[in-house]
Formats: sequence, structure tokens, C-alpha cells
Amino acid sequence: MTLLLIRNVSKTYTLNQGWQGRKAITALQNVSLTISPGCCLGLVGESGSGKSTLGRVTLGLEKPDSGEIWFQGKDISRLKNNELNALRRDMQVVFQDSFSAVNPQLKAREIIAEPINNYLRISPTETRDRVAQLLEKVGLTAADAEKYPHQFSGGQLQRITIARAIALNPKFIVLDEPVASLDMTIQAQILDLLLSLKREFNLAYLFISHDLAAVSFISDALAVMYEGAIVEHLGDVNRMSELQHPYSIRLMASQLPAHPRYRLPILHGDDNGFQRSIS
Amino acid sequence: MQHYIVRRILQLIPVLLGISLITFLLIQLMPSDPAIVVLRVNQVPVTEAAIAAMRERLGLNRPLPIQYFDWLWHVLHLDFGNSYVTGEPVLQEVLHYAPVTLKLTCFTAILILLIALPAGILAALYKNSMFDQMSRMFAYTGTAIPSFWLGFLLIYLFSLKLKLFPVMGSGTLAHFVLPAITLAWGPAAICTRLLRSSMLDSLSQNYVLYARARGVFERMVIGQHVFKNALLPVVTFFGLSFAHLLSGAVIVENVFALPGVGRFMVKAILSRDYPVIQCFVCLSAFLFVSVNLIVDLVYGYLDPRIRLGGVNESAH
Repeated sequence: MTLLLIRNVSKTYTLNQGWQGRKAITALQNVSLTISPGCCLGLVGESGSGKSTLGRVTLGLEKPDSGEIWFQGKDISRLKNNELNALRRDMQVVFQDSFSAVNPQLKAREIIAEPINNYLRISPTETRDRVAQLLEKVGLTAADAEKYPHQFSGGQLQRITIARAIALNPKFIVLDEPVASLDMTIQAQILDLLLSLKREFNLAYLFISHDLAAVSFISDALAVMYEGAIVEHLGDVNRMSELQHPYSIRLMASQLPAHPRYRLPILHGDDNGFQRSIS
Repeated sequence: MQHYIVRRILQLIPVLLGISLITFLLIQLMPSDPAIVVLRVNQVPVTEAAIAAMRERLGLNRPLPIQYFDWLWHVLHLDFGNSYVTGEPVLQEVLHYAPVTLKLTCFTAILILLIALPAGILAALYKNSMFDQMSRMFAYTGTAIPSFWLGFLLIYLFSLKLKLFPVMGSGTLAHFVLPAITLAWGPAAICTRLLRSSMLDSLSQNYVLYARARGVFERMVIGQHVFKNALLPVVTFFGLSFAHLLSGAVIVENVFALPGVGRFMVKAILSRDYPVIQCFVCLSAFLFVSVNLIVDLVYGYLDPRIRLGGVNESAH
């Protein structure tokens, strides 16, 4: 059974360069993916490889040029905005920059209550209780409910956006580099939190990252993206050593090991040959 | 919030003191001697002896600081002295004319909001549409046409040709329609464009896009995330233009022959009736400062960070 099915999705942007004319940039080419309920797919790739575009297309923020995205039996790429909103109750999102993801003029309580008020008709007291529960669930206290975003640290605010994302018990969350701009210790805490929420609520994640260590910690399956295409797919994240594609190997080699002695050799000098082997 | 209000009110005291000092000194800097002015309007022959006597009577021979504090003491008791021309208490005269001007100003302010809020929101939501282009034309003409000329045009069209509104006077509500339109057009035009651009600014914020991604309904996205944030610059401009309206009323009242403070003031200036001018300047300054206080309080409501004084603590 699959929760999300992405089939042959392509997306091209045209960049207007003024007098130099237009330039087409291929962000996604023939991408296919599946995510089962309760599973986390880690999507890794370098900056500009199209992984964030895939996230945005999955969320229905952008329409793909071709291909299909099936979520709960509906093709997202063909739905109108008001039809999409019904699906979005089960599909939430957490972004990298938590400070730009929240309205700076709202209290934490209002931020977390927003999806609840949006989809459910429940009394203010019930909402308040629900917000308090959610705050506790993500490791904050009820006293934090009355604070404004600028009174939180980056890690705390990311917890609030996570609380907002799980407020309606969704089935699927797109995590777009949720820990990339946090300190290492905070990263570990947030990843722990995400993992425990996933187990508790049987959540499915699309975990977009460029950090293999983070991905291997939280994901069940792994897809490697390069220049808009999925170049390698791994059903079990524990078999990461079996990655074969030259780009995957280079990505692994770029990770810092626990001790420099264990560092994998970095491939040098044959970028051209490497490019050829992909296409 | 209470702490914030008290702090803002306390900050007003030095401002008002400064205004009173400047108003007082302004009269001292005038080229013509108040004593001579009083003698002239009362048609007493201007002789050395008469000037000296009048200076003594008006207390102009005392040292400046004493004159100032004496004047300030009276002003604090709402006594702005007597008019040189009529001999009546100044405040009483000004208050006699005030209702017409206040009515005109409030009427205009309401008109500005009625035009600018819907027009600004629609122009932003339907950017570059037919409506947006029309509101742009409206804005350009509004800022380009001087109010006295617009006033005459409106009188010519609606009063003389179409006979829809009375030409002048202030008896009924209908008398205020044309003057209010004349006054409102410019500020309403600027307000519309300001609201449009700040709405577009808010619309491009990440949290607006993300709210849509999370399935928040469009009505809530616009109301909660876009409109409230976009109001800040509009509120600022509105507060400033409210004070502008008071001075703009001077011209419009003359065009439409409305018996308001503005017309009274022009007369006072022409006859160099200094106590009246002082009273007018003080009162307008007081009004201006009060309106700005209200604007600040509205600001505190719209943007809690200002109220908490914590904008600088932000991590970003």
C-alpha cells in the first residue's frame, strides 16, 4: 500500500535573462517515488539538485509540467486549490527557516492553533487544551504559548512549527531541511523528536536533506538526487554502503567520519567522466 | 499595554512644552510690534505715548522668561487671552468655529477609509488587472490636482450644472459632501497605493506561501497574515494626514465658504491677531500630537513586538 506515489514528474523553469533571452532550467526530470504509510523516505542531493522543487511540487505549491502525483487516491497535479485544501489536512510541512515560516505578530498559541481553527470547529477551551498538549509533545511548556516568535531560539521555534504540523494528526509531512540551520546538539534533539513522533502517530515523512548522517538516522528508504533526476534508490537505509552511483559515492565520501582515519577517498579530477556516466 | 500607554503619554510632556515655547517665541520674532497692531485695529492714533501705554497694558515690558511663564500659566488654565480685534476670549471664538472644521475633518477621514481600504485590498489581490490600472489613474490624478482647483471643478459640475449640492454654507450634511471629496481625494489616493504595495509585500512573505501550503483557507490567509501586517504603514500615513487635513481645511473652507476655524484663522493672520494665531497653533499641535499618540497605540495593538519593546532582541 502506498500513501504517496510520484510518477514521471518533470518540471522546467524558464529564467528570463533580459536581453540575453530566456534560459530553460530543468529542475526535475522523470522523477518517480513512492512512500508507504509510516515510512520515511530520505531525499539527498546537493544544493540545486531539485530536491526542494520536488517537495514544493508534492505539496501542490507548484504544478509539474508532466507526470502524476497521487496522494490518498487523488492526483494532486490536476486538483484546483480549493480541492487541494481538503487533502492538505493530511499533508503538512516543516521548512528549514522557521523564522520566516511563522507570522512574527502571532503568539505561539495562535501559530499552533491555526490549523485547528482552519479545519475543525471546536471550542476555544478545547483548542487551548489541544495546544497545551501539542507544546508538551514537542518538548516545550504551556508557558511558552504566550510568547512571540522572536522570543524563541531557532530550535524552539522549529519545535513550534513541528507542533503546528502535527496538530491535525496528518498522515504525511514534508520535512524540507528541518535541521540544516540548527546547532549540532539541537539537530540531534529535533531528529529524536521527529523520530518519536513518527513512531507514535505512524507518520510518513519525505525528509529532504543534504546531510547523510541525519538521513540515515531517521529514514527507512533513501533516494539520491542529482541534477533533477533520481540517480539511485535504496530500499533499506542501513545498506548505505551498497550505493553504487558515482555521485552517491562522492556524496558519502564528503561526509565527515567520526575519526579522520576512516575518511573515504574523495574522487578528484574526473568530473567530466563523472558527468558522462550519469547521462 | 498599560505601561506602554503611560510611557507614551509621559513622553508627550516635553514635546508639548517645546511647542508652547516655539509658539510663544514666534510672536516675539514677528516684524510688527503687537502694541502697534492693537492700536491700529482699535483705530487709536499711533503715538509714542499710546504705544508705551499699550506695551505696559499687554505686559510686553517684562523680561521674556517671565512673559513666557505667565502666558504658559494662563494657557494651562485654557486662557489664551483676548482677541486684539474683537476683545473676546480667544478660546471661545475658536471653539465657536471648531464644530464645522471637526465635522469636515471627520467626514473626510471616514471617506478616505471607505475608499482606500477596499480599493487598496482589491488592487493588491488583482494586481495589474483593469481595476488596479483604474486605481492607479485615480491615485495619479488625486495627487496631481491641487485641492482648491478640484474644489472649483466640483462646484462647477455638481452645484452649478447638475444642481445636486449647495454651492456654499454649512447648514446640512449635503453642504459637506463636496468639501469632503475635495479634501479626501489626495490622501485617499496615496492611502490606496500604500495599502496596495504593503499588501503585495506581505503576500510575498514566506509564511504566507507556507500558510497556503498547509491548507489555510484563503480568507484567513488574507485576513490574518496579509491585511493586518499590511496595515502598519497605512496607519502611520493616516495619522499624519489627519493632521494635514486640519491645515488643508483652511483652503477648502475658503473655497466652499464654510464658516470653520480655517477661514477664521486666515482672517486672524491678515489682521495680525496674535493671540488667535497662538491659540490655533497650540491647539493644532495638541491635536496632531494626540492623533499620533493614538496611532502609536494602534501600532502597539497591530504589532505586539513594538509594545513589548523586543524587536531588537530578535535572533534575526
